[in-house]
Amino acid sequence: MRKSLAIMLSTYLILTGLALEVIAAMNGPIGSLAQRGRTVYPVLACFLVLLLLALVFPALAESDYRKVLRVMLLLSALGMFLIYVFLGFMWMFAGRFAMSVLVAVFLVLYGIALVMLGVFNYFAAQGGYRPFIYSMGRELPYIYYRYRI
Amino acid sequence: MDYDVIVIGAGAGGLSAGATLASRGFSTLVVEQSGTVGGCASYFERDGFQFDVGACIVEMPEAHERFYAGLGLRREDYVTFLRNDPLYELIDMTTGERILVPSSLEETAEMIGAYSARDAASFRWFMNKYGPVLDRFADVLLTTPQGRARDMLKVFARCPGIIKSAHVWMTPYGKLLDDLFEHPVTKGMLGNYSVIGGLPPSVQVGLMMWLVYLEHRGMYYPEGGMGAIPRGMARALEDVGGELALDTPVRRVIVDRHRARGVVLADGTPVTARAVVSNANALPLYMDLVGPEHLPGAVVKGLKSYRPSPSCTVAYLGLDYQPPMRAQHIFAMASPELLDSFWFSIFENGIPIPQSVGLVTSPTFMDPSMAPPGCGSLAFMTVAPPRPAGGSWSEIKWDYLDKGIDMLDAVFMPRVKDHIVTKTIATPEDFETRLSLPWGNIYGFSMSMLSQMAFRPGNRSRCVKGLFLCGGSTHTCSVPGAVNSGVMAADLASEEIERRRAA
Repeated sequence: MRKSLAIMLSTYLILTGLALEVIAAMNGPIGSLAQRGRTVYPVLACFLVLLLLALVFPALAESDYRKVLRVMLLLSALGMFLIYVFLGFMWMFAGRFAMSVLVAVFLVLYGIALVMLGVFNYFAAQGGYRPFIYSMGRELPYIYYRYRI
Repeated sequence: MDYDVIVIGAGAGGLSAGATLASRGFSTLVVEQSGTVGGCASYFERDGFQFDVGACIVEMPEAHERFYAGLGLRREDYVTFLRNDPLYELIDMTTGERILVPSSLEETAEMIGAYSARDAASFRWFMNKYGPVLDRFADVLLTTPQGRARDMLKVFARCPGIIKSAHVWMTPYGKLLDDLFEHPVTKGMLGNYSVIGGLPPSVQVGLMMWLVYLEHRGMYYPEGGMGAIPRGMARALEDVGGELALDTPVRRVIVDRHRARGVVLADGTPVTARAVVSNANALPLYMDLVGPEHLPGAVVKGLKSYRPSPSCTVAYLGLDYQPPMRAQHIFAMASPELLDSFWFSIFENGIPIPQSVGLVTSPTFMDPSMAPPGCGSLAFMTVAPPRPAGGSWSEIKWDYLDKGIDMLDAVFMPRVKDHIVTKTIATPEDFETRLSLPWGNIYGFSMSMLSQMAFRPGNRSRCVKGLFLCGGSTHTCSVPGAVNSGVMAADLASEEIERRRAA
C-alpha cells in the first residue's frame, strides 16, 4: 500500500476512534435518554464506512498484508454493527442511567480500539515494519507466561 | 548440608557464580557433565590442533576485569586478551570484493566514506549521538539482575537515554539501515550485525547497532584460545576455595516444598545445599532436572513458548600451513534482503544451505601455539536449521561439510582444500547432545524483544525458591554476558544463603 494511502486509512481510523470518545463523553453522562439513544446512528455510520473500507483498501495492500487488513477491518465493522444492534435494543429497555453507562463503556473502549488499529495500520502497511510486527505478534500472547518464569 | 551452594554447569556463567560465591566464604561445588570446562566457550583437541567449540569473539573485557576484581584477583594472572586489529575482513558475496574493517569508529567511517560520503556522515552522526547511550546501556543491562518488572524498570531508570531514543531502537534493523545509509556495501557490512545478534535484519531491533559500537570499542581473542577463559576461571575458582567436579552429570534437582535443596548426581548420590545455581539452559533445567510436577502450569507454558535462537554448524579444519589472512575473522557480506531470504529458508523451512558460510575464523592467526609448528587452523560457521527438512544431521553432516569446504575453497581461501590435515564438524544435533542446548541454539533462547529482560527466565527462579539461574538463557551478550550473569546470580544466592543461615 502506498504510504499516502496508509496515512489516509490510519487517519480515518484514529479520527473515528476519537469521535467515538467525544460522542461517549457528550452523550454518556449529560444528555437525555433520547440523545443517548441517538448515538446508535453515528455507530451505524461508522459500521457502514468500515465495511466500505474493508472492501476497498485490502485490494490496494501488498499480498502479505491484504488478508490481515481485510480481517482487521471486517472484524471492526462487525464489532461496530454488534454495538449498534445492542445499543439500539437497549434503548428500548434501559433507563437513563443504564444507557449512559452502556454508551460510555462501549464507545470509549471501541474508540480506543480504533485508535490503536489506526496506529497499527500505519506501521504494518509499511513493508519495513511488517515482518517485525508479525514476529512480535506471534510472541505477544505468551509474555505473561514467560514473565512467570 | 553438604555445601552452601551447588552450581550446575561449568560454563562461563557457572564458573563466575561458583568463584564469586566461594570468594565470599560459602562452601561451593561446581559440577560439570563433560570433561572440560567452558560450555559454549570450551575447546577440544584433535591431531595436535586445539579448536574452539563455538564462541570465538570477546567484546566487553571489562566483564572479566570486574569478575576477577570481585574475587580480589588480577585478571592478567589468569587470562590475556589479544586485541583484534583490524576487526575482520568482509567478502562481498556478489562481487568478491574484500574489505578490511578497522578497529576504530573514525577509521571505519573513513572506510565507509570511500563508498559514500553521505553514509560516512550518517555513521559518524549516529555513533556520536547514540554511542554514549549504548555505552551506558551495555553497562547497566549487564550488571542488573533480570526477571521482574522492577528490574527492567531499574535498567531504564539508570539509563534514561535509552527511553528518549526508543524510536530508534524500536525501528526494525533493516529499516534503520535503509533510513540511514544508501550504499549496498555499508548496508551489507552493518547488516551482518543483525545476524550476529541472532535475528535477520527485517525482524531484528535497531538496538542491535549496539554491537557495531561495542566491537569498535574493542574486540579480543584470548591467548591460548577461547578455552583460556574458562580455564582461567576454573583456576580462580580453586584459588578462592571452590571445588570443581568434571564428568559429574546431574540427574535432577532436589525440590521439596517448592524449594531447591540440592541435586542428585547421575550415579544416584544426593548432594544437599542451601542454594542451587544453574548454568544449564532454563528449558532442560526446569523440564528435566526440576520436573514439570514442581512447576505451575503457566511456567511450563511459558518455557514451551520460547522460540529457538539461531543454530549453526561449525566446521573445524587443521591445515599444514597458516592460511593467508589479513584478519582473524572473515565475514561473508550480503545485502540485508539476501540475509532475510537465507534466514527464512533455513529456519522457517528447515533447508540446510552448506554454502551459507557466514564466518571463517583462524585461531592460529592470533595464537600460533594452538597448532603444531608451521601449521594453522580454521573454523567456519554456517547458520543451519536445528532439524534439517527430510533427514537428520547425522545422515547429511559429512556431505554438508564437504560442500562447505568447496565454498571455502572457491570464495574465501583458494586451494585451502589441498592443505587439510584433519577435519570435523559439529552440528546443531551435536550441540544439543553435548552441551544440552535445546535445538542446538547458540544464544539460549530467541533474541527477539519479547524474549528479553523480564520475559526471559530470571536470575532468581520465581517458582522454585533457592534456585538461581545464569548463562545464555537468562542473559545474552555472549561470554561477557554469561560472566556477568554468574556474578548476579551469585549476589542473589548470597542474600538467600545469609537469610537461611540467619533463620
